[in-house]
Amino acid sequence: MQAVEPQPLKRAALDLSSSMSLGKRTRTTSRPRNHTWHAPWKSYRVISGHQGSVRSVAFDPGNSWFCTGSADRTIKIWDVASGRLKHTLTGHIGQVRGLAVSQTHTYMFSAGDDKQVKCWDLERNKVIRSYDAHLSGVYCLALHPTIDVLLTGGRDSVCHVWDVRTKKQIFTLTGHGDTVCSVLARPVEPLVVTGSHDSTVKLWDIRNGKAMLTLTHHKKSVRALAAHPRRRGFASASGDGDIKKFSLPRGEFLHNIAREKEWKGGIFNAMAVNGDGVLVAGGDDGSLCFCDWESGCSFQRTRTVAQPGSLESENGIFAASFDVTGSRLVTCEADKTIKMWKEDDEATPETHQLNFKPPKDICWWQFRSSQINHRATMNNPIDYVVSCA
Amino acid sequence: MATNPLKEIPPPVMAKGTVVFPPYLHREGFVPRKLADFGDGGAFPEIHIAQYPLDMYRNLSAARPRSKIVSVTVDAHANVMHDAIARQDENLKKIVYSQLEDIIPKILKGEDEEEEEFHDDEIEMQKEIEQTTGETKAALEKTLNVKLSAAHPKNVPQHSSDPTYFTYSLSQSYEASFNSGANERIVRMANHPVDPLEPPRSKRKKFPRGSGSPPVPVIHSPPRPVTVKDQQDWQVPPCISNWKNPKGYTIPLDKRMAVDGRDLLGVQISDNFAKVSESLYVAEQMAREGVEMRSKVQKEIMMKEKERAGTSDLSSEG
Repeated sequence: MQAVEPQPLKRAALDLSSSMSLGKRTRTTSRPRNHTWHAPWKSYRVISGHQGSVRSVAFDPGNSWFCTGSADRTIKIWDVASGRLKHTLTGHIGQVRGLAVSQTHTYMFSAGDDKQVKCWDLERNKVIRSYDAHLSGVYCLALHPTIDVLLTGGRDSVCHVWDVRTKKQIFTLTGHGDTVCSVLARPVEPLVVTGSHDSTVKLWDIRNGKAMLTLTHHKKSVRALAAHPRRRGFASASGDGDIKKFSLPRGEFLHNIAREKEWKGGIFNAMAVNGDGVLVAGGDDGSLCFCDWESGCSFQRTRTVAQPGSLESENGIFAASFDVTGSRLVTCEADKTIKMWKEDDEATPETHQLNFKPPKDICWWQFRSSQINHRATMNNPIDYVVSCA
Repeated sequence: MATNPLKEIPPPVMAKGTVVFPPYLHREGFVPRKLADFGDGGAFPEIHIAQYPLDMYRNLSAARPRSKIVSVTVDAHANVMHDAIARQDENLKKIVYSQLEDIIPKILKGEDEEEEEFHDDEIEMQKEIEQTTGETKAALEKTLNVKLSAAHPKNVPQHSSDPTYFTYSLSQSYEASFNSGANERIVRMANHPVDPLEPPRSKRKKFPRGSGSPPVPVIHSPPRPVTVKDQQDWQVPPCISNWKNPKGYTIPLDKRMAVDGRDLLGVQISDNFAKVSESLYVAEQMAREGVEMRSKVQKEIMMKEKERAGTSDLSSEG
């Protein structure tokens, strides 16, 4: 593997010592971010079958099939290996916007624009439960990995926490000012992360049903959230073209991803992260941006090709998901196709060289997470100085 | 430090037991920590620490819970805490980001070390996951049970349909015209029979709920610079309508036509023009060929007739 030589970083133009809140601070030498080389991804299969744009995707935990929900109100189940259609499930009367497959039971959950959240029994291919509380379209759905709890967020700016078995809402997570369009369920604290059209990301404590933290870093609606499967962190993508990376459990902002100087950015609709640290962000104009999680630099920017017969505007990605192994990517698009991507086997670091340059206009700091203490209150002021050891 | 000229003035002689603190100008190093250090006076302005003589205003918000006054506090580095307003009420228990560190890009040290301690980290993670799961499940079940038991109440009062009678006695005696002169009335009260299969008569509406916590400081990176090309792309010329002119402006006709959108549509020539000209050409070709062939055939006929006439002449002569 070709070693990437760290570029000598220039001192920042930003004079941080003049900032009041920093107090006494020692500057450490900045270090460029680690960057691993990734092979470029290419599309190897196009699956067409839906009669409306494909809006959501979910994989089976056994990695043998995946299901897609679309604007034609159906849910189709496809075989991963061959790409053939296995089943079509009907029942929704609006676009199917969210899908999730349970890891422990043979259940699949779907949520649509018609305010319905359904639980399907996959042994009999029937709807067995329906969860009714949303006042308008449900835009996102997530199943908690360890607790039997379903999270749905929708246009009524509320995220409901449902008990799967009894169909009762345990909590209603209110607080967002606009549509909740993305939800993440995690096994450790914070258990729920929601992103909304009011450009905030909220981290919730679902034992009380209250928000723990509100992140206001984005300027436009947060359309997609993706958590790293192993690291403690998540990324949020928004309509202003920013993909921001945050660390958990305290939700500290780390840095922007893929914000190179010349690139203006586009609206990102979907995001997914691999076990290898490949982050893919699908845009509203069909652009796909593949980035390295740790360094935040993008190693590939491509554009999907709409299938022949579609309009120019039907170039867009609505949902993206890696399979369970992380070696295959499925993108759901506006031209009614599903595209499957895999890494180019013939590419090597020599053939696809990557000039990784960390942004020079920002100074990189090293912090120890526990030393940033944000628990200062009015009565107990604690200093904000971070000592860089 | 320059010698303080006032220090040369000797301190006033005071009777013993009257004051607990050093006199003015001689208080260097004196720090009033207890209530008794203040004597019966107030705070010392020249001593730069937070002082609460008579314990006044030590906990402003707790003393007056509904007061909107947030005292100005200072952190350990003597920086005024400007985000105290953002950390009020509900936000006291929450994490609130309001500093420069929260917007600058950084790498957390813990992140690098994760690579090396991956194996141990996994086992720890598992334990953490299990613990969190257990606690959260317990908390959620508690809430759920409350809701379920509310939906299935145990002691439902039975409404019997037997009528009950009670007497209503009037306080004053009225004339014979009212209540037929009687002093009492007997009232019969019974439960109206309810049709068990009737759907609910009023529609139960679901209302959207309001937000709970106070607002949080908005942390935005500075606006990205707009390039000249971007600015030019987004320039929208004023609209000159072909139909409406509310202010009655007189705009020359060429300006009206320029903003019309004619040039945006583009010239679209139909394919049929080409088709017509091609078919005309083809038809002409075919007509020419036809004419040529006909004239050729005619010529041959003429020639044959001439020959026949010639040979018959010859034969008749010979």
